[in-house]
Amino acid sequence: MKHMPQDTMLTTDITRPDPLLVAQGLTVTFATDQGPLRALDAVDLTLAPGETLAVVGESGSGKSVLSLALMGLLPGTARIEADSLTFEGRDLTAITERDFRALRGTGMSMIFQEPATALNPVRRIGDQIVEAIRLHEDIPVRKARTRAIEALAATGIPAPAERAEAFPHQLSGGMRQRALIAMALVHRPRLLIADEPTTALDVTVQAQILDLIRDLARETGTATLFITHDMGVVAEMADRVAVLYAGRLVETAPSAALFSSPEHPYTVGLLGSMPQMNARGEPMLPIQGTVPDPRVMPPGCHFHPRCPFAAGACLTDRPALRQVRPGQMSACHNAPLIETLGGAT
Amino acid sequence: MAGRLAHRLLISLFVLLGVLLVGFLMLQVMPADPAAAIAGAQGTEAEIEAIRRHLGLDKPVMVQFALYLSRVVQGDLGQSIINSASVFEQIIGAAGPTLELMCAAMIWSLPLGLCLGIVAALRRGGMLDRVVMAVSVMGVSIPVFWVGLLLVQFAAKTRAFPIQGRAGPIFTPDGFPHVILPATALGLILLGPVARMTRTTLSEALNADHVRTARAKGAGPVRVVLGHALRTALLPIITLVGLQVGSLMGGAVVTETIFSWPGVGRLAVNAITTGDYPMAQGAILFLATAFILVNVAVDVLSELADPRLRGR
Repeated sequence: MKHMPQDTMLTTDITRPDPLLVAQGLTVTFATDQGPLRALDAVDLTLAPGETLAVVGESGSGKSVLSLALMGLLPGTARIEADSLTFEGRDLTAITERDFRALRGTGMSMIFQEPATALNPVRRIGDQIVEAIRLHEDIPVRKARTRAIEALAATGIPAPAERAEAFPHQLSGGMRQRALIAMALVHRPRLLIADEPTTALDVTVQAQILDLIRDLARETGTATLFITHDMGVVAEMADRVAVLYAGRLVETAPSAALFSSPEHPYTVGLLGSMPQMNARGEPMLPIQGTVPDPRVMPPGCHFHPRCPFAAGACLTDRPALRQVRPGQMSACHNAPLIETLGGAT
Repeated sequence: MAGRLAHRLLISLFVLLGVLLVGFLMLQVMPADPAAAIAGAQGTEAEIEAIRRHLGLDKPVMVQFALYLSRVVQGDLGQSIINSASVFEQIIGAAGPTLELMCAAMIWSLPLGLCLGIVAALRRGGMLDRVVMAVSVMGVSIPVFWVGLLLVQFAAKTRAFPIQGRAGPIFTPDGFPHVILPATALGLILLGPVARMTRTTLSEALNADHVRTARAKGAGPVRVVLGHALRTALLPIITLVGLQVGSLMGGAVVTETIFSWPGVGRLAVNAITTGDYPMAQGAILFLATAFILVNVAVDVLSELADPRLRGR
C-alpha cells in the first residue's frame, strides 16, 4: 500500500495526511445453505478526509456489501476478514459493538437507495431526526427539535418546521432523500456512505440531490464513499474511482484518468455503456455475457469469460492490482491496454 | 377522526340490525317450542295456545320481528320465559363477570404471546423458535373445551385451585383464585395466534430498510427491535387481536359453561337449552354488540398505530 499517499495527493488537496479509512484485503464471506459465498475478495481501499470516492460495478459486484461491511451492519451470517480495516486509525475488526454503535451516525453515516422505505413509516420526520441527534448527544428534546429543523432547512427543504411534523408518506421521494441526508449529516460525520442515493429518484431530482450531497459534504468536510453503477454520476461526483467486479477490485484511478484512459477491460466496457463516451469515435467495447455465479467463479481472472483480450495467463492466474501509471492501478494482465490495443491493430 | 368514528358507528348500527335479524331467525328454526316450555309438562293444548297468543307467536314472522325490533330499540329485551326476570337486567348482571374473564384471559396471553413471538423472531430457526412455534400450534389446535376439562381434572386431583363459580370480583383475594383456571383455558385461544403473528410480522420488519436506517444511526438492539421493528409490526397484530376477540367470546361461552362462570356465555347456553328464547336473543345481541364495538376500537387503534391509514 506504499502507493496510496501518492495516489490521493494527486487527486485531492488534502491538508491532513492520515487516511480516514483504510481497508486492506477486506474479504466478506456469507454462510449459505450451499456453502460459503465470497461476496468481497481481498479488497484494498483508502479514503482521505474530505475525499469523494466512487465505487462502481454491476449489481452483484459486492458494492453494497462493501458499504454495509464498513458500517458494521452486515447480518450475522457474514464473516469479515481483513489484513487491516481502520477508521481514523481505529481497528474496526476489533472494535466492540458498543463502540461501533457510538461511531455510527457520528463518525460514519449512511444514506440508502430507497428513500421511500428507508424512513420509519409510522414516525414523524422530525422525531426520526431528533432520535438520531439524541442517540449521541444528551440534549433536551426541544433543543434537538430546533437542530432537526435546522438540518432539514440546510438540505433546502421548504417549510422545514412543517415538514418535520409530516410522516414519510406525506413527502415526495426527493424530499424524503433530503430528510435522510439531513439525518445522516446531523452530527457532521467524517464519512458519508451513499449507496445509490439517486437511483430511485426522478431524473430531474437526481441532479439536485447530487448537488446537495456534494455541497453539504464540502461544507462539513465529510468524505464520501459513493456507491453507484451510473458512470454519469461518477463523472459528476468523484475525485477517485474504484471499480469492483465479482467481489474484486479491478481498477482504481483518479476520476479524470479513469475516463480518459481506463486500464481494465471491464472499466472500458462500463464506459462503453455511456452514449457520450462513444461519440469520440473510440472503438465500442460492449461487455458480453453476464456476471459469474459467485459459487462457481471462473479460475484466473474473474472477468476473462467476458473479456475481449483474454488469453494465456488470464485463464489461469489471478491478476494482482498493480500500478499502471501514477495513481492508477489495474488488475489486468494486459494493462496498459494502449499497448495491447496497439499490438492488436 | 371524530367524523370517521361516527361514520363507522353508523355502519355498525346496520351490522347490528343484521345480527338482530339472524338471531331472531335462528330461534325461529329452533326445535323447542317456547310456549310449550312455559306451559310445562302438564300444560293443555288450550293453555299453550293462549300463551302463544300472549307472546305474539301466532303472528306472521315479519310482524314478530318488527315488534321485537321496536321493543329492543326501547331497551326492552323482554322477560325470561323461565323465571320472568328482565333479560336486560340479567345480561347486564352477567356482563361484568364475562368482561372480567376476558380481561383476565388477555392480560396474561397478550403480553406472553408478544414476548414469545419476539423471541421466536429474533432466534428464527433456532431451538427456542421451534419450541415457541410448537407451543403455539398446540394452542391453536387444541379446542378450548378440552383444555378446560383437563384443567378441571388437574384441579380436582391436586385441589390447587377452585373449579366452580365465581366468588366476587377477581381482584379480591377471594375472587382471584376462581378466575385462574378459566382465564388460563380462555387465554390459550389468543396465545398461539398472537405469538405466530408477532413472529411473522416482526421478522419481516427486522429486515426492513428503515430498521437498517435506525441501526445506521447508531441505535442499540433494544431500540431497534422494540422502537422501530415492533412498532411497525404492530398493525397486523392489532387487527389479529380484534378478530380473535370473536373466538375469545365463543371460547368464553364454552369456558363459562365448564367452570360455571356466571357470565353472558353461560346465560346464552342455558337459555338455548331451556328454550328461553328472549334470553338467548338478548345474550346473542350482547355478544354481537361487544364484538362490533371491539372492531371499532381496533379500527381506531390501527389508525393510531399507522399514520398511513389516517385521513383516508
